[in-house]
Amino acid sequence: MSLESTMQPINKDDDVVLAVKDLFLEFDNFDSHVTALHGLNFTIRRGEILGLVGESGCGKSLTSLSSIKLLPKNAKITGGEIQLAGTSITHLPEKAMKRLRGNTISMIFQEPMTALNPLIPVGKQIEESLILHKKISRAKRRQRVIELLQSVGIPEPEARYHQFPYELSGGMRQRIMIAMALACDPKLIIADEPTTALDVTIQSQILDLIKDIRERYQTSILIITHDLGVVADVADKVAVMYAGHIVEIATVHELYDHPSHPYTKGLLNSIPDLTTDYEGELDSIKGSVPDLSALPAGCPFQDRCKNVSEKCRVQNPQLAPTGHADHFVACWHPIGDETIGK
Amino acid sequence: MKYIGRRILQAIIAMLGVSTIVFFILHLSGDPVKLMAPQDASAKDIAVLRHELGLDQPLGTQYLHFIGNIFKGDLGYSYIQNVPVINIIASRFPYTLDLALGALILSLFFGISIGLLSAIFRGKWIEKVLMPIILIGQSMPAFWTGILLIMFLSVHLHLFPSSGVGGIKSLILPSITLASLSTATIARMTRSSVIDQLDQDYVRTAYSKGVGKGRLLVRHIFRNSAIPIITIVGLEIANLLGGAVITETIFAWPGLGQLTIQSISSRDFPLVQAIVLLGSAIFIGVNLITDLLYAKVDPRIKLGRDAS
Ligand SMILES: Nc1ncnc2c1ncn2[C@@H]1O[C@H](COP(=O)(O)OP(=O)(O)OP(=O)(O)O)[C@@H](O)[C@H]1O
Ligand SMILES: [Mg+2]
Repeated sequence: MSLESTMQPINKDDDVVLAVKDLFLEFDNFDSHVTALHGLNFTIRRGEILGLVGESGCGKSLTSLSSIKLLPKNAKITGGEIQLAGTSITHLPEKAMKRLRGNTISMIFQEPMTALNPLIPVGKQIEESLILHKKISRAKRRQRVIELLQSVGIPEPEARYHQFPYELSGGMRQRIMIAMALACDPKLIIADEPTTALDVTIQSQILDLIKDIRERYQTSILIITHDLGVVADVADKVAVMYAGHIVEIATVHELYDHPSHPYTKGLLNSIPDLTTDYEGELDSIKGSVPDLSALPAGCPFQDRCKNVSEKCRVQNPQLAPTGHADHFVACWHPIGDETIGK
Repeated sequence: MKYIGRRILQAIIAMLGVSTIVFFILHLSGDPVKLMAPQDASAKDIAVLRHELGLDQPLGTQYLHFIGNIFKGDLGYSYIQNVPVINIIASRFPYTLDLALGALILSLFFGISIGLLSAIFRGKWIEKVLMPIILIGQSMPAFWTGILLIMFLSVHLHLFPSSGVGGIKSLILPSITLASLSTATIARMTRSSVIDQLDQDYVRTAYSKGVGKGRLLVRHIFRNSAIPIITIVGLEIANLLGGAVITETIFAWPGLGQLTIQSISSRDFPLVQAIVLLGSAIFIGVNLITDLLYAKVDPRIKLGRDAS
């Protein structure tokens, strides 16, 4: 049973802001083809925050860059579909895609130090989205930028408008990035590791701001992180990625209370303050992520899994309902499922 | 302000240093009186001449005198022509200026456009055509370029005069000759600087806002890649204004380059001194201007952070 047949038909649902359907992505180099994304399926609804977690190199950034069509030159979408606010963007020409970027969908990056242009005043950088997408007067634009600066918690916005990135702290710069992403009131914001480069105290302020934005504007947010603590804090739903696959997807509480994939459970065990819930019987995952160019047949996690069986080595499990509401897992032997023999 | 003041002070010190070095090196390099005096001059005649030129004074006194005169704007008389060297230079400089301007306009236009295009179309056929052109421009010596141009465009096709001065037409071949090397240098610097910027994170941010290629170049890349380009253009300007010895010789162009050769071979101390000083002043002046431009382009530089 596939994910889409168990959920509402996605393209008929006005509430779905991003729908990714069976997405395949390949790298085409001179000497090799590497499939980096293997049939991803997920949706994000209006006002929903989806967390995308997984180890480094599992394809989180590629997933987000596919959604805004800013992939590296050698990457190619080879199957499936991406729908943004009801429009299929999989084969949308670049010219049309440009109109959506910064307008319907926008992005916040990890490094606020380098993601801003060092030689343009920050106010002007925020204003650029408005110049590109909104036909409003200069004075109105200025006013909107000041409002945006205020709404992301930047004091003295009039003075900040003219400052350069080097004059601001890391946290302030990330707020500028957020104001920039918000400028045209987008339906979806993608935040790729938005807090990784920041101090812990600043991190939680930024996460609060992200939650606040969702409350105020009902913006949908795709937040990428390798930090399950961050996800627990902000997200409604979590998708766990492993080697280019989504192996489990569920609401935050469901996932933390009943992790179903052995990989998810291993990830949860690797967070110190959550392990107590699991009585320490499981140690964190052994081994390392397999090379994407040499994935084994069958389940990508087989070589690190304790519950591995013959079937796992032959057939790749697809996402399927676990029986709990809104909880899907791609595993032949999910945890807590006694009906499937080991 | 502090930045500007510091740079100006540095320029003055550099100028003083150059004057000192020029003075001593020239005085160590040979005796002009022996060259100037007629073959059959007596020892007494030579002593008189030496006294008239002030060359019998102690070196220290001569030096102080020399520096003092520079401040007064007096660079002395030519030993050979017996007129103020300032006048000689003033009569030649306009030719060098014309040639330098001609070459600069060509090399700025072609250097920057070739550099930009080959950066934007990296890996495409446009780059594959442009890169060899840059390479040729860079590896052809001026005398070779000059001779080829004369052969084809003036001897065979009679489009331009082969040498001498006479209107804008006579300026074209020497300008192209002189520009070919600068064009290649500017193009290479532009290309690498732009490519460098295209890899920066802020470029991805700009794309994520819906910025297109054209706007990206004009609004984002241009300013960020300007500093290395300004540096190299500054050096080229200084070189061009200093006089192009080879090009001027090929085209019989009466600029500073020719004058330099003549003054050195006749040991005309004051004239050589003045030419070298002028060259250094141009170099230091252009450098000062580029430094001030850096601060205009990049606000971080005023705070004393390094440009690089
Ligand atoms: N331009 C490229 N050419 C070839 N392979 C690439 C390229 N970019 C990424 N990859 C590969 O694609 C895989 C997924 O990369 P991605 O950047 O999406 O990982 P990620 O999950 O975001 O990791 P991280 O947490 O380190 O950011 C990686 O294994 C990487 O090696
Ligand atoms: Mg990433």
